[in-house]
Amino acid sequence: MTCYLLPIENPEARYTLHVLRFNPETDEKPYWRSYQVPFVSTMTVIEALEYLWDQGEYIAFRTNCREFTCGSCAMLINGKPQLACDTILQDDMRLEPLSRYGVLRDLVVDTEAIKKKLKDVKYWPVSANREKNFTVPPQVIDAYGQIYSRCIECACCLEACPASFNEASRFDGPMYALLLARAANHPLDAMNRIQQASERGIWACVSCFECADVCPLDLSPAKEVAKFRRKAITQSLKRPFTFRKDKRYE
Amino acid sequence: MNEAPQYPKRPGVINRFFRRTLWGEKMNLGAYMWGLQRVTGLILLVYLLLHLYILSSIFGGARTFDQTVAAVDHPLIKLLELGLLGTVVFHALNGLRLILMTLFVELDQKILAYGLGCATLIFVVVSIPFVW
Repeated sequence: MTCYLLPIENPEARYTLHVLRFNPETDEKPYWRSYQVPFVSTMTVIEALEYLWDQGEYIAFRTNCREFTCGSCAMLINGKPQLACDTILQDDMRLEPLSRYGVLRDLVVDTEAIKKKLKDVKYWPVSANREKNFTVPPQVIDAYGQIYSRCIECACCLEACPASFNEASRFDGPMYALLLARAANHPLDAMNRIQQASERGIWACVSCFECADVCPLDLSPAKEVAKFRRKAITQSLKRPFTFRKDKRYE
Repeated sequence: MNEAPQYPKRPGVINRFFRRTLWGEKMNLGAYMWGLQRVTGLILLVYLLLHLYILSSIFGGARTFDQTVAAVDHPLIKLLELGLLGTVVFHALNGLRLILMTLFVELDQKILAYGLGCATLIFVVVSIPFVW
């Protein structure tokens, strides 16, 4: 592994990093281990882990883009879900894998459940008439650029959500709600996303805005949930007793 | 591919909330409000049972009821009544805040949260002469 460590500013000053390690093949349960990392004021957690690799401490972790675009380095840092490439290292930091998914090793979790659920959700625009010509209004392009296309699916919001405890929870989670909103706002989408969102448990959201707090891109899935709820209420008021009979979503 | 081994035990929500706070990563204000909403709800449930228990003393006759009422006529109980009043107002206003946030998405939840906190405090302070 190549270490992109910046010049060490003060060789004598060192930071302590605590990592929850777990190898399912050899360990019965996870255990904390502490490591010493030289002090560099701009060092991120990813760089600290890479430094430890260079020192022979082979802690398993995921990383790819190093500029909070891929979302693969999400982990619990001091108990808060964050991207390791977006977090400046501090003394006595505690690193854990995301607790929502099975641990493959150390800080690497199995995210297959996310991919499976994304297929189930059909979060891409489903068009009824693909041949029809259309023009995307500028406000839709703006909304996509500013909100919907920015989600990197890092699962930080899923980890922080107290209403969606795991993939089997009644409420899918904030990330899925945001992706549903992305599909719903596409001009070609023909699915009844409000009903789909209702069935996927948006009413269980407790509106704590924890998802917005931990989102590395400052998105607010809780607002999208609130918008879905408002649309569902409005739809029910306009057409009482018919909302549940809408069979457009199959 | 083999099925991924499960993490031995996921810490509970309350555990994670406390741990994060203790480790210096404060939660969002809304998360604390959500926790308080749960706690005040439980307090109200306990109060309701206590209230029914005290009222049920009326079945023992007027004298038993008077004795029970006299037993709870204590400054400490008055203080608890004020606390109860604050709990009821907080729980109601926080519920209203959640409804408002659903209907008016652009509202700032933090301003609403601080507002309801102040409203609860003012309501309790104004009620002191009436309760005491």
